[in-house]
Amino acid sequence: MRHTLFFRFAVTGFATLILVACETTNVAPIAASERPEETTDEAGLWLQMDETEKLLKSSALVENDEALNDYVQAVACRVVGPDYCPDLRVYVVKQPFFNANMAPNGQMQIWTGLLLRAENEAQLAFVIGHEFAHYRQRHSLQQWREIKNLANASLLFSMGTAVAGVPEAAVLGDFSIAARLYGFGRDKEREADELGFEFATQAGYAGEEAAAIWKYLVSEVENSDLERNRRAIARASIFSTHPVTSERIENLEALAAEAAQSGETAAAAYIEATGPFLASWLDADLVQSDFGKHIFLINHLLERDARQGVLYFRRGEAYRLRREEGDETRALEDYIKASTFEDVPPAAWREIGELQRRSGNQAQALEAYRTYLEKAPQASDKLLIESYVEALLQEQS
Amino acid sequence: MLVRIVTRLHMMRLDTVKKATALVSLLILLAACTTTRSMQTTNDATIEDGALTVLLVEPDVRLSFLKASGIAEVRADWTRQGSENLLASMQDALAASDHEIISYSLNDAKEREIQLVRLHESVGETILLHRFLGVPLPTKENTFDWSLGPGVQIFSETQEADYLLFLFARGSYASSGRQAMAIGLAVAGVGGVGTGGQAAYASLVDTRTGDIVWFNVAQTGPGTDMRKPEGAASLIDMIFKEMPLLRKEGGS
Amino acid sequence: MGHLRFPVLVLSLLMVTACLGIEKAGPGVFQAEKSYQVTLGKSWTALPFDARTNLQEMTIDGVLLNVLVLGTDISDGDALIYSADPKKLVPRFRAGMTDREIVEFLRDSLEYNGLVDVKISNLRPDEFPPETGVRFNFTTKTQIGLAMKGDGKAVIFDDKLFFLLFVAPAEYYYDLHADEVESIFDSARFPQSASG
Repeated sequence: MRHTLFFRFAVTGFATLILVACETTNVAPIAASERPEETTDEAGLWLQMDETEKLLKSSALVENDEALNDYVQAVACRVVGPDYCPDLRVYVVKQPFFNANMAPNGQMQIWTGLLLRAENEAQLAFVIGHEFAHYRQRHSLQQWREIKNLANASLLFSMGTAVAGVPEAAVLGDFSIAARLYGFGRDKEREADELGFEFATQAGYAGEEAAAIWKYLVSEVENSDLERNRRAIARASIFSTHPVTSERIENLEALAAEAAQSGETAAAAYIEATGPFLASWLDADLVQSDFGKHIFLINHLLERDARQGVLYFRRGEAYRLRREEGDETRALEDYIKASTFEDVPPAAWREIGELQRRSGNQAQALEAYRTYLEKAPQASDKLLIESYVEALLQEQS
Repeated sequence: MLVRIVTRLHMMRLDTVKKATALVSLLILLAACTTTRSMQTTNDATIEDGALTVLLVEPDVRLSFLKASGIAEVRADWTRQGSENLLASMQDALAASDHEIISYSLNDAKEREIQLVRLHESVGETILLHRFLGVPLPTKENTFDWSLGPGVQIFSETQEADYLLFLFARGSYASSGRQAMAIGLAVAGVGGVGTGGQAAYASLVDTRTGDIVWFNVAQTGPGTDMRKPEGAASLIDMIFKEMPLLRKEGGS
Repeated sequence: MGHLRFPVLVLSLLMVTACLGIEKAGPGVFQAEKSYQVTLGKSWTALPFDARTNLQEMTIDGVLLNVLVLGTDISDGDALIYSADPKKLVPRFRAGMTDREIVEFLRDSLEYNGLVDVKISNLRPDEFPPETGVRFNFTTKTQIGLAMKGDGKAVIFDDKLFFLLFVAPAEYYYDLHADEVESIFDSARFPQSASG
């Protein structure tokens, strides 16, 4: 204990001694096609992000589908305008979480969990506008300088990171860790919201969609299986690095009311572009095992989306894996319902087969398995299902 | 970041540290753990006589400014300068034995090459872990036969070469404020405030077999500086010690 | 399966604490903890059995280059991903899962742990004496993009899940010990006493 106190005293003392002139965090917005001077701290940030981007490009996390990338990049260019468009590189990243981020060098990531939850192109446009605002206002650079200034005033930062076991941050330095520890502050997020709103509405998108995506997110998290998440929403602390969500929604709604002019949601174009990925994105979301959130999301999608076969099938999958009282019946109902739509995945028949077999309905099970094998002759589990069919036939005879 | 609705602190590995970076950092922190001996393959690997060609596969170099507060800030200009100095030093060292070194840039379109580079990262981390950081691996106690396999021959389709050379280097250089503080804290009985340093690892791969014929780690204290040609040369001297392509004076 | 992310911190702790538990196994019969046995044709490095997740990891060239995971005695509600928080939302094994669902559970656990695009192929019934289990192959990529190949085998015995997973980089390492892995998978069986 004495040691600790002494340690603190020593640290604070020296921190005070070394309190040097703060670097300015007041930076001008970046111009189109502007690049930082090589000798600046900004160039160092760019260098690291260029390296990260290179890794990202050859990683397994980037969705390489050309049509989807063209679509997202086109929305980005519409939002930021022709001058800045060549400065932005948008990557669709295969991660099942609602997230997007912007690196100071013009690398923007949109995660598939966000694309899954956005309802229309206008909502995507607001996200892109918001991220682009971080870029244009050089928020990363401001953030980096704030961290440095803060750290100069408190040596505990480096001690803290060293103790927390991030040798890189303490010894060799890694901007991204620092950024993650601190996030962009509330003021920068508010500025990005306001500018993002301006960019997207000027590009002709409907202003009310900006608040809509947040309202949806709040309601989804309220349905989480994890009580901690639900409570966090109530306290609004889950968004601690951002303006309190309710405040943010109010702010965006006020902006939409002021703007008055009407814009488009471009929902049909959005659903067409993202449609081919719906099943796999939902599959990845279910791996996260938050059934409450997941089922809420599917119910939300069912209300507005034509892809009913996929959606009923996916909801059946969620019930099947959740295994609560009554879920088996719910799952079977959903698979059967799914099978009435054109876009039903063949696996729905396999699941009907499984559930019928479990309920002792051998004839129905047999028929469903056979339909599955017929519709999916190349299935990876063909041999397994054939063995089930054989077993059923033996039981019958 | 638009949202942190992510319900747990979950990080994309790409955003965070590369593992090798962290391992090398760890090497600096735990200087005592490292051996000074380089690793040579126990497989059959004859070095041909005469002039050889070595492909330097996109070295991974990063130099930063270690601020008084302990934050390190990557410097683009230093990194470029350091990379150039390291390349020149390696060229000098190999030229003395009549070998040629060629810088090789990777191309994302050449997927197999990217796979081999990724595999080399895994192999390099494995060697660092088990040969330099002391984690036991009983199955390899008496052998050093790590390899990338004959797939590496694919590099020769683009550029004829006898060996691939991989280099990973990090340097951080303290501000005077930080040096003062390190001394001050040492007086106050608090250790562990680094004043910067340089660390690197390199490996040499036979383009016929893919075998890692030689692998070494080197680190130097705050006294040396690869931003200057002499500093780069001393780091390369250290890391190239026992490098099999270097012929001893008077040798063949 | 913590090795799949292989956090550096864990590594450094491992260095300090767990070096003692790393031992050579085989060639010969290897008895997994509370579980089945396999016959190793070569020497393997066995990491300490992880009693929190009931996983035993073994490797020849290093866990990033080839790893055999023996999963034993997994009960209803258990997860393969360790968390200090017992309520953490992760894929969990549930009693009564079909063979296909077990493979799905293993795939989900691998993906949850950070492997990308885990693609299962060639599911087939396979003997796991005295029971019949399921066997499959898979391909995947690490986040950083290294293509991996793997094999899996699983069985339910006394309502518990037992399995083997092997994964290695597709480039060079998967093929390096493919025959050895194939014969280890084929050799998996519960000792006679356990089968009554």
